[in-house]
Amino acid sequence: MKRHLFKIAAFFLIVVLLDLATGMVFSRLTGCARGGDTARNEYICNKTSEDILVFGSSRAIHHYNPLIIADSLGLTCYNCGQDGNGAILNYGRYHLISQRYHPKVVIYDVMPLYDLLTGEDNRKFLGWLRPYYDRPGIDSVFAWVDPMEKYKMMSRMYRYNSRFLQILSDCVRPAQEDALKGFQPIDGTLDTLKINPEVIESPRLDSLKISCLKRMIDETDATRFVFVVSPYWYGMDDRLIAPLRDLCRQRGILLLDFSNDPKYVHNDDYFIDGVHLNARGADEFTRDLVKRLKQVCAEVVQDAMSPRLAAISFSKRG
Amino acid sequence: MVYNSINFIVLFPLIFLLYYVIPARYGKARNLFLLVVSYLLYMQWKPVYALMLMGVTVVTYWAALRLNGTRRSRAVVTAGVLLALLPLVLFKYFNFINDSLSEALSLAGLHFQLPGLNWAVPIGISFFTFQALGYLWDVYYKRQEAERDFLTYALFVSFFPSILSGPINKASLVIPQLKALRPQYDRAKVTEGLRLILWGMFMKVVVADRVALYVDTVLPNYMYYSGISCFVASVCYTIQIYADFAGYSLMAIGVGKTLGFELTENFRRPYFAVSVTDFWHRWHISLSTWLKDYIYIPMGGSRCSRLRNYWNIFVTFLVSGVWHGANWTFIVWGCMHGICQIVEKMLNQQRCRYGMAGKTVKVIITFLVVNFAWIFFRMPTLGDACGVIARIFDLSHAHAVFMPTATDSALMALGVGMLFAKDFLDEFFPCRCRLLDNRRAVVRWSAAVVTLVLILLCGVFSADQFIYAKF
Repeated sequence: MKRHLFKIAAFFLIVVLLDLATGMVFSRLTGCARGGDTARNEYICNKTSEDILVFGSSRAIHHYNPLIIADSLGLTCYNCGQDGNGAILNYGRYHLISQRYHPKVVIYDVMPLYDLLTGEDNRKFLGWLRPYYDRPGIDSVFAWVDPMEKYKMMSRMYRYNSRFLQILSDCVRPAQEDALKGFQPIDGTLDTLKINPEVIESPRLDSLKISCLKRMIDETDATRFVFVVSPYWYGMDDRLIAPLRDLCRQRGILLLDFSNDPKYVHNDDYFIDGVHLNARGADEFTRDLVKRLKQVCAEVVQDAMSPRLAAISFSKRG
Repeated sequence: MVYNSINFIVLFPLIFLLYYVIPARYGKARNLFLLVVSYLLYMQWKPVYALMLMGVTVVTYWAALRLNGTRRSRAVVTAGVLLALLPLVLFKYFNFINDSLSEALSLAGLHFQLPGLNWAVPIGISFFTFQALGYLWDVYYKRQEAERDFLTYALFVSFFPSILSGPINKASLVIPQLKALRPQYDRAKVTEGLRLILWGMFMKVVVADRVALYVDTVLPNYMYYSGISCFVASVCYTIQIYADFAGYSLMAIGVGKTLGFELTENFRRPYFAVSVTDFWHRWHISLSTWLKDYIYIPMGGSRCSRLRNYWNIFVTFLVSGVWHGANWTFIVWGCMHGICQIVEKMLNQQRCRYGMAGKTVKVIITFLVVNFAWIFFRMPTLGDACGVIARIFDLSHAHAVFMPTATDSALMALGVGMLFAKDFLDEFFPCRCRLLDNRRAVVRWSAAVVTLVLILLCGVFSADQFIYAKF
């Protein structure tokens, strides 16, 4: 019996050693990725230095053209949106970024299902944060979502779970280059089959997602937040963002709601499906947004000249 | 206990070590330990429902003892069966019967409905109830001696590896093992058990939970996806339910083996079946054996007129449908399987006599028929099931296939491909290409390490419950 148990222990020892080695290899590969989502995630978490950052879900990544924002506002901009993600990932990323510097403006595209309401298993929002689990504050995000996650994160290999193929391909043959500053426009026209209204029966607030939004806002005074609801083809029930409205009112934050803008609602020219603008729609929307943002950004530039904010900005960058 | 959870990874080695700390000569102490563990694990979910488990155990134990030396054995067995079935009927079927009756009455212009029960169904209730009923009938038909030792019997009903989702073990298999003096440590069994746990885990987290991402995206919103996407999703569900349930069964059997027990085999590569009849010899074998022994044969089986035999098959699979859940979709699913088997029997197509090409065609046809029936099993209502089928045959958006990301597609293909390859080799070349149980240690160990690495790198670790746990 003892000999057999020793063999079983030896087997697990081999797996542990392999786990450590594989974790180290993938950590190196993540840093070396030449493009694709791996390099993009690494850039967002470790290298951004832009004045304006855009956060949100797939609607952020496909709707906000940083080149238009930068040209119009005279501030640099990067799009940090991520498909199928919301407040939990965005808080984690913003927390990592704010350890390096504080962007002047954060434009946060809100999608109720990912940012305010209970929906899918929240553990799925941790995927892109797993490689950065050891960084200060990130373990707390995992603990909020599921206290058991800390045990899973003991495996170095698990940190690259479901992403190792992507990491390899992003090192060898990256899928896309990041010339558009994180923006990924979708070419094409509306596919009527994909007009899938987001019917949320009896919506329930997700306290964790809302607390992540609050923590983002409270992380620093040096960043000005603007919450935006970008257009939906079928419009959106205004009640779904009521908690966000309250939050913005309490904290004096600007909320720009384009969800029921008649220019976009049921306008087939601007959409690819029910929730995503096509490239033409995204450019048009970004231009409309910029018009509304000009005032905010003018204040930000002015604020940046004031000694207090300038000092914060300087010390954090240093 | 959910096998794909951290709880299992932490608790199982502890249970394993504590179990083997008890010397083999204290067989009763070992059984008592397993009984306490089984009840504690069951109580993790809702402690009060352990009373239900105890109730079914006490009723069937008492009824079986009473069967010995009584002239009114039929009355005793009827009372025992009805009492044991009571919690199952109450928790699982009350609302369904109530709603169906009130709908039927409303058709006749009568409006009457009892208030519904808003209670969660005790986990594994269908499995432990059927296992206990099987024992009672075995005693009644004198195939099994009534067990006098309550501890042994209680452990047989509540044995933790199989209580959640089976296999539904026969008393004649498990009780002698519980009563016998088991060896202190059976190295071969422990190794085989760990191997089964490993492959079962692979099937669950790498295959089932990965394809579930596609299924759960498309099928609940089938009206917004093309026919081809719905068809792909239905095939994915066919793979998912196999990998999920067979994976669970392997882990349950594996856990049993590591503790020195042999449990009933539950799956034998069902998607290589050449007919629906053959499918049921390979799918959920413990349930189909139970249905054969306690429903089909007592009704007359095949030793009766042809028409009566067809009726027996139909009723057996109707019961199978009802057992799976209180919903018309399960009943239709059961009836479809029953009707397919009747047709096969009428056409004498239960086996294959057409050579390799014919066998391939029959395997594909059987797969498609079973796949079609799974649509009813998966969808929440008959209307939704018909909606998916109508969508599949709607060719208006034939070009539009919903594709997950390239990474997800690759991981899906990897998992499904490995499962298919293993089943294919086990089916057609059982003595060749053995990896996890290869004679050479280096191959065996490498295969095990690679499987574990793939689980860590490709698995979906959301600790989703097994599909059959809700039955």
